Amino acid sequence: MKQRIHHCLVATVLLATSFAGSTARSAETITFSEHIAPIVFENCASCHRSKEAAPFSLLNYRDVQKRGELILTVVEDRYMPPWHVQSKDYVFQDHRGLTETEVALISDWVESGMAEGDSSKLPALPKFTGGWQLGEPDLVVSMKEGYTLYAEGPDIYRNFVVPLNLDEDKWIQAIKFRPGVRSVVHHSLFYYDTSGDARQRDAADPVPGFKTMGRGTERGGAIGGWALGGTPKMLPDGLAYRLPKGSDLILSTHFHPSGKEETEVSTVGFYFADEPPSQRFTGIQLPPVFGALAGINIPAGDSAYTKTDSFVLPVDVKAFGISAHAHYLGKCMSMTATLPGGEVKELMTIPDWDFSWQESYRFDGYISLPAGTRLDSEVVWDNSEDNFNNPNVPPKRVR
Amino acid sequence: MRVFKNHCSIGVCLALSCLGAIATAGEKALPDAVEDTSVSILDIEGQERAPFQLDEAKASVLLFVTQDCPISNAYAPEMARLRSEFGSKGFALTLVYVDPDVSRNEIAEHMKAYSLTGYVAIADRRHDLVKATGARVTPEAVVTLPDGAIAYRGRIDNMYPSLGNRRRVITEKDLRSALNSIDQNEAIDRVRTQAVGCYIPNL
Repeated sequence: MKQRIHHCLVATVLLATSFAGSTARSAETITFSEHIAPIVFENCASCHRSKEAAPFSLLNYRDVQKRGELILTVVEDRYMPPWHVQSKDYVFQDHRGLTETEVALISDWVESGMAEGDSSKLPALPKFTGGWQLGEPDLVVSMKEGYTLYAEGPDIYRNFVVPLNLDEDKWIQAIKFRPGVRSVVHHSLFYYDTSGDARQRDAADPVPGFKTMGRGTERGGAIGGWALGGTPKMLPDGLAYRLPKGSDLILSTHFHPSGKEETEVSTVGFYFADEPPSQRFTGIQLPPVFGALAGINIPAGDSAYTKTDSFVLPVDVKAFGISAHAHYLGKCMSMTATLPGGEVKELMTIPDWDFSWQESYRFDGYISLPAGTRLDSEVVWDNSEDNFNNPNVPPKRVR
Repeated sequence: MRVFKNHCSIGVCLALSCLGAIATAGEKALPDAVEDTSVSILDIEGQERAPFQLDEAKASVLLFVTQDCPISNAYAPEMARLRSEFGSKGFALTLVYVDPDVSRNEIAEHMKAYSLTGYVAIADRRHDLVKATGARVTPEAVVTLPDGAIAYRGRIDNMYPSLGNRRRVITEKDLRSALNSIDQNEAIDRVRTQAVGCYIPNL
């Protein structure tokens, strides 16, 4: 709620300053062709088009006019375009969001009756890249068999094992994930398994894959993930994940039932480096091991159970990305860097954690963090009845 | 795995430097009754229907839907159950597709895909039923009595507290509760609730 209040304050100030502009341009002059289409084409159409994850297309006047009030509601709420992270000190790549001016323009257009205007002023649709956006992958694999999920019921978390049959180590620069049924696949986290455990668990389960939340195997590692709306990216400067020979790929996938039965077969494309990277990178988790050792013990009804953790960097570091992970009770999380001189930088805040949007964020360029920088993280959980994501009604203690 | 379930952590990818490295129903006053109960409209089979004229039925249950609204579609299994349970108790249940551009074929395909066959379905392309009832979003339920009074209007249940948010546990099944009350000749607890979903597309 802090976030929403903050938004309200910002909106008040900006609307006050943009009001003069709004009256200067009579509402009748706002048209789809000239003013609204550029906003929608640039910010919405990449997902709101045929065969993409969004439920309907927004590619022409009729598409948008028909849903004018719905569009206004979701952009005013900041539910769309989806973007959940903020930092007052750093910029993230591929930021999604409308400016206050753009939202005000949509509002004025809807209020004034949604005129189409002169279609000769309509901008061209952006050129969307279908298929493999990073080019033809070096290796393409798919789930061995389709997984059929029910029409309704709780969300499904399931791991699928895909043998890769690699006879040498590989270095992964990027992975492109292609869901078979976009309306039900919400996100997928990628792991490799060198132990064969995952393969055994899969074989022991009569249905394709096996049920778990997490990797589901002790040996192996994380190699990225895909979430709704995400675009594949190469790791910077030749950095790469090591993929040991003989590994199996694990797709740890989250499904939303859609109202009808669907069968999913996901496909994955790997982009390998020609040679091992000259640089290495590592991830730091705070608290580590997804918090499993942090003594989490959340009383039933506690709406702001908080854990903090910190880590002092032993060497100079350049950070290029950040992500957060929580489940149903997650409420907000943040990480700061206190530089050796005492200056505090906000690396990331997710003020209103939404379990449905698990993205990784890439900083716009490297962030230099000298040795001695202290990283501080804070995670807040809401185990109250007011958290509608709470799977326990009434709430229960969670350890 | 329970321990794992609700934990979270923040990870930073670091390159070691030694290597460089809702729609909510609202504003306008909504009708408490259908003014003209003689409104008739063709269903997708081409048969004339007058959904507010109830010969034998206890009440008419109109479910306003759109074929491409994820919230509306998420309710398909519950809609199928409602028809089977309350249809046999003397209620007339109708799916009202409100996208002005939807074709009868698209509706038939949608009903098949979402296991909604068996319902009477109407393509309300001119929004005759939308105007008569004041429906604003999909999915939204409007229940009318033989005299045209709107006995219930609003959500099916509380699965969606707002756009983009889905409750893990449904705790209030308002439409079922209203229909059970009508069935048992009892007063309905809540006659108006707020439907959450996609605004009905403009003409």
